[in-house]
This record gives sequence, C-alpha cells and structure tokens, in this order.
Amino acid sequence: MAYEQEDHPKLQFPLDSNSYNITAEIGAGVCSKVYTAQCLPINSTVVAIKSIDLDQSNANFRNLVGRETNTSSLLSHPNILNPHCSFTAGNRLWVVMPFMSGGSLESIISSSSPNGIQEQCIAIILKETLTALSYLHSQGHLHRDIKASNILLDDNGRVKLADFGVSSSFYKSSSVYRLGSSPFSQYWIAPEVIHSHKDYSFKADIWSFGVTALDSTKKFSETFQDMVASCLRKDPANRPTADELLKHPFFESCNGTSEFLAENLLRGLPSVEERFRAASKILEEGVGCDPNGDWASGLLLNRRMTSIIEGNGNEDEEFEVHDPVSPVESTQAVIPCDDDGEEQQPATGGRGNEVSAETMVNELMALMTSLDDQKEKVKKIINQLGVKTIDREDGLEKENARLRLELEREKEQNLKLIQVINEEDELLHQNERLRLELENEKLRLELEKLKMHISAT
Amino acid sequence: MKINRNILGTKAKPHPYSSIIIPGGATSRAVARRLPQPVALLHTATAANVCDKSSPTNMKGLFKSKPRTPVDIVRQTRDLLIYADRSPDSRESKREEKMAELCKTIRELKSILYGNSESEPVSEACAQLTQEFFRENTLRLLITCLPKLNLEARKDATQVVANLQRQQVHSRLIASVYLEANLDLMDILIAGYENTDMALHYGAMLRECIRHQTVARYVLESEHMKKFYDYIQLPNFDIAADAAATFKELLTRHKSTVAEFLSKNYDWFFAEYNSKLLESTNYITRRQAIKLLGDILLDRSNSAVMTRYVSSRDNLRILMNLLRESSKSIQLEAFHVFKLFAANQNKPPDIVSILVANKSKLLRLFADFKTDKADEQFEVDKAQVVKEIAAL
Repeated sequence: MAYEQEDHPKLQFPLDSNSYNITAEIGAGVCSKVYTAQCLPINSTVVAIKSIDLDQSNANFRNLVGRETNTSSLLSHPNILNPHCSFTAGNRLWVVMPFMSGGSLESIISSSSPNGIQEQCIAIILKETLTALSYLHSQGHLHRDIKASNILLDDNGRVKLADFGVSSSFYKSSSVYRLGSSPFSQYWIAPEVIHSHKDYSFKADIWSFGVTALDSTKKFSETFQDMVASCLRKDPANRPTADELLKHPFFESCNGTSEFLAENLLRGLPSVEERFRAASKILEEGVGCDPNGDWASGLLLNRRMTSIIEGNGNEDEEFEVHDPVSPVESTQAVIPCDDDGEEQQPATGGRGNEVSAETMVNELMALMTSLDDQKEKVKKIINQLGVKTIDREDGLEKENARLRLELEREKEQNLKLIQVINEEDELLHQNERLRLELENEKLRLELEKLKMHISAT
Repeated sequence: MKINRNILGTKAKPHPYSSIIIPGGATSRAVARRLPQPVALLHTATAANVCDKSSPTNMKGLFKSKPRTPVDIVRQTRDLLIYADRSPDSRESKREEKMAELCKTIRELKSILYGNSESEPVSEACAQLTQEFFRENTLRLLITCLPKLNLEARKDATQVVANLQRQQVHSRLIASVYLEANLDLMDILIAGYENTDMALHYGAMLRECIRHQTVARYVLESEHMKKFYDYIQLPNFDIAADAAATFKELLTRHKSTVAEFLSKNYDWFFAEYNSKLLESTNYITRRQAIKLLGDILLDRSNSAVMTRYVSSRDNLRILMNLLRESSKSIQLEAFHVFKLFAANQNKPPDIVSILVANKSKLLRLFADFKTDKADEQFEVDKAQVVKEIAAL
C-alpha cells in the first residue's frame, strides 16, 4: 500500500504569491478560481493554482482553516494529486498544484464527440480513480466530493484524483459530527467506534463514484451496468468497498494504459484553457440557467440510474435519490421503485440518449404515481400540525390543503433529486429552495388563516 | 460466546503479516505459535463453532497455533526501535532490512488498534497492546525515531499514538499516567512545528496528548506557549493551520485549567494576543484570533478574565479597529467581543469616554450591520448594544 513518490528530491515551492506569474484562468467555482501560472524562481515551471476566497464562505473557512491536519499533504499515491504547497494571500488561500494539462474528466466529456467517450477509456480512468479511492479509504479518509470535475489527467494520460477541500479525516474531531453524539460522550469514545472499517460512511464515496461513472458515458456494456448498479445499492452495507469494486469484472478486464488514453482520448482535444472558455461561454448564454435544462439532465440521469438498478434485479428495493448514508441529507427524498406494483411506471424510455418532452412527461408521471405513497406521510404531518379541525370541515377543503402540501412535497423531492445529481449548480438550487421555502411559508400562512377561519365559524 | 471472545482477544484470524520472519530476539514461544496455520481459523465464525463444540484439548491445539500476540508485536517493535535509535553504524543492508521490518510492525500495531478491511478491532487485543506499550518506554522511542521512518510508517505511527491516548485498560487511561511521568516528550512534539517534515505528524500526536488535562496544563504553563504565536503564522499554510488547531485546543478544552492559566498569565498572554494576533497583517490570523477570543471570553468559566479584558481601553481600541475591517466575517466576530464592552454594567470611565466619543459613528455602523442569514440572537445582542451606547 505504500507508494513512495520520493524518487526525485522534493522541490521547495515558494510560499508567496509574488513568485508566481498567472498566465490563464482555467476553472471557476462559487468561491474559487483556478489558474495556470509560472513559478518564477523554479525555471518558470508551469503550475495550477487554486485560489479560494476565505472571506466569502464560512464553510470554506471552517473546512480549510479549522481543519486540523491537512489531508492532502500527507497522502502519497500515484493517483492522488498532491499540492506542491499552500499559503495565504490576503483573504485568499492559494493551493499550488502540478498542472494537469489533460484537464478534468468533466471538461473532456463536454468537449468530446456527442457519442461520448468510448468505454475502454472510461474504464481506465475509473479504475485509476478507484485505486486512489481505495488508498484514501485505507488511510482513513473520505473524499466526499467524487465527481468528474475532480478527476484530472495530465498530457501523458495519467489520472489523478484531486480536491480534498471537503474531504475529512476519520481520525480527527470531525467524527463528533458524524456520530451525532454530544462532544462529551465522544471525548473518550472507544477508538473502534471512531474508526471502523465497516463504517458505512466510506460507502458514500462509492455511491458518488457510481454516479460519476454513470454520468461519464452514454452507451455502456452489461458489465459496466452491473458495476454501477452495485455502487448504487440503496443499503450502503450492500455496496462494495473500493477494494472489492476493483475486483469487479469491469475493472479486472480493464488493462488499458495511460498511453492508450493519451493516444485515444486526449489527442486532438482543445486545450484546458480553451475548454474553460467554451464552458464559460455556454454558461453566459444562459443554457446552464434554464431550469428545464436542469430538470432534463437530472431526470435523464435519474432514469438511467433507475433503469440500471432495475436491470440488476433489485426491483423491490426502494431507490433513494439521495445518498442514503450522507450524514447531512434528510431521508425524505424517496422514490419508491416498485412499492405498490400496480402503479409504478419505470423508466419506459430505456437508456435513450436524448430527453424528449415525451420521456420527460413519462418521467414526471412516474414521479406522480409515488404521490399515493406520500399521502400517508402527509396525513401524519397535517395531524402533527394540529389541524384536526380541518377534519371536521367539508372534504373539499381538506382535500385541497392536502393536495397542495403533496404538491409541495413532490416539488421538494424533485428538487432534491436534481440537487444531488447536479452538484455544480448549487447556487441555482439554493435559489430554488429559497423560493420553495417561501411557498411553504405562504402555504403555512394560508393554513393558519384557514384554521382561524374554522375556529371562527 | 465466552470462548469466542477469548479467541478474538488473542487473535481471531491468521494475521495478514504472520508470514513475517521474526528476528532472533523474539521469544521462542512466539515462533512456535506461528508454525501451523489451521484452516479453521480462516473464518472467525467457523473457529468459534469448533470451539463451542469441541473439548478443551482441541482448544489447546488451537491456541498453540495462533500467530503472535499483540504483546509480541509490541515487544518486537520496541526491539527494532532500540536498534533504529542506537546503531547508525551497523551494516547498511542489515539496517535497511530492520527498518523495513519496523515499518511492518508499526503497521501491524495500527491494524490491531483500528482493524483492517477483514476484521474489526478487538478490545481485549487493544488493551493488551496498550498495556505492553506503556509498560516500557516505547512511546519515547517511537517519537524520537519518527524522523527515521518513511512517510507511510510515520503516518501509521501517528495513528497508533493517537489511538493509544484513548485506550482504556481496566477503565483507566494508562496513556495519561505514562505521559504524566514523561511530560518532556511534549517538548519534542512542540518543537516539531519548526521542522517542515515532522510538523504535521508531531502536531497530530501533540493534539491527542493534550486531551489529557495534566498534559495540557504542562504545555500551557511551559515556555512553549509563546512560540505558538509564531507557529500559527508560519507561511506554510498546512503547518500554520495545524498549530492554530492545537493552540485553540489548549485554550478551550480543559475549562478549569484554562481559566487558571489565563488569570495567572493574563498580562503577557493578552499583550501578545493583541499585538501579534489581533493586529497581525495576516487576514487568516486576525480572523482566527478574533473568533477564538470570542470563544474564550464568552465561556462562563473565564468570566473573571472576561471582566478584566473588557475594562481595558487598549483592548477596546483594538476591537473597534476590527469592527471597521472590510471583511464582513471579521466584523461579525469582532462584534461578539465588542458587545461585552458595551454590556459591561461597570464600565470604567475611560471606556465610557471612548464609547461616547464614537457614539454616532458606532450607531451608524450598527444601523446597517447584518448577518447573511437571519440570526435572532445576533439581532437581540445588537439591539442591546445600540441601546447601551445610545444611553451613554
């Protein structure tokens, strides 16, 4: 397991921003930007610099500054991108990294042919990524942000997993949060509880890995489908570990090399900088802001996930669009796949590549059918809200309120679905959520009024 | 089930590293145990079934064949550490071999304490390991030899040390007892912040050790405390962040010890805190320092220190400068300390005069002072502060 990278003496990269000459912007997030730069004192070596605004986001600050031991600087694995160094410049944190000129898997996908990337290439990239994940897990770390934009390639086709901004270590106090116990009981908690190899939190990374895999290709083989299905099992206990997944036939049979990737995937692609400019342009033109676009891609992925899971014979399992072990998420976004056999309309479109209005309608219909399931829950909620008086009112009123609530719930569910799948569009979703909250609030007020009205009459 | 536990306690399964050749120094008992590897041991459940149904003689047979015990592994580690510590001049090839062996035994210790992909840790094995580890000076050897190990072994060792701090043997934390008698080890760990290669390993060990109150007290009262002001501003962000985490831990973990330390060392501590941290040119330092200051002063156990802090006009001046920062986050954190000055019912005259002189400016500032998210407590505090200042 020990991969030594110390074959050449470690260069000391300077710890001040004046030593770097920024040459181009190659990536942008909500609170961060990524540049290429030359490191002047070291023969103008080309590096990538991620510059994170610490003043804009409290979460960033806590993650990065409150963090006890920097994860990435102690990791040593050929498939993990180790930063050269990091330092602060004003209120920004600069993380200086090797420049991966092949770009991210995400950018490769979006600039490849519309038919997608051939499975052989995807297999190599996923296998390398999984090797990195297996190492991370063996070190007691979670990545927590496995996605195509964090899988990077250099121009020789070598694959490295990047961005441990949100990854956290088990051996650190973050486990307080994870275990959901009070700090006091946690203080001297038994070590085997703090770090357990059977801990399902690791399986959250496997889930994300499965979604990333699914999202990276459009046509896939049966072994691929089987591999992804195993990652997307609802019960984390049934998902394979990274090590087990490496033994899956899909990866066992994959013996491609980085040279193969360089030759067959990277050759002829636009530069990382050009890809970034093209992506920004698309964003500016508002394509990414079209909520329907969001829906479409979210539903497409959901349909593919559903079809994959059904293909695997897990029909009587509920399918959660949320990662079921992710500690932050609620568990409400459940789309029952086949709970009451009569009305389930599983993704009829199979795994088509396009989202037509028709398939979307089908999808929506399928979602609608799960409403009945929710009815019971909604009923409970209404009861909890103490709106018993409504029961005595005429049925129409009751039905109305309930339907409205259900609609809200359904909307919320769908929203959450999209959220999970399109993490990149966080901001957009936040807006959506706020809007929803507002609507909820309005609804609540209406209910309130209704109650007052009832008690008045 | 009791039998099963016994087996688990010593070793449930053939250890993944049981093929390691034990050097001459190991006990013959351990060697004898290592020889046969019955198939039944491959699965814990199977082994348990065999035991439950079988006669004591069969059980004896099983015990004979079990691999090295945790105690054996600790002893072997210690022997190898002594070797690594002492003999720089022995034949190079032999040394390399022994160092490789040392790395392996440290990994074995780790997998007993944390478990591995095939088996969960067993509390009895952990207890035996811990007891043997602290029976002699293994921790000191491990700490001093750490720079001689490779990166993976350093990380393993760090995790082993961290884990051992939490191990209870007969509901006692024997690590604490050991450290109380070996407090000078903290000197080595703290000095690690000056060594880029060792800082994160020693830093992580240090933070685990100061979970013990006596150890934290030792560090707080040592000269090392002053060095933290420099460590947390080191240009290497990873190390600076690690030092800051330790500094915070020292000043917040053990309430009574912290309160005692702060009242005894009030003068130099806050003089340095103000000039080196709150007035630092480094944004991160200021932001961390103002947040930590709020945490310290608002802690009920530090109320005497708080009263003293908010009676000083120098402190007020510094806080008012932080309120004027362009960074919203720093402003907000500064407010949580500033409010203590304003809410103080026994404001000294010079505090009152500063507040009066800046009354209109402060009221204007607070008029459009908002948090990003609605924060009821903040609004209540703000209203209170505005009321206090307006009444002056």
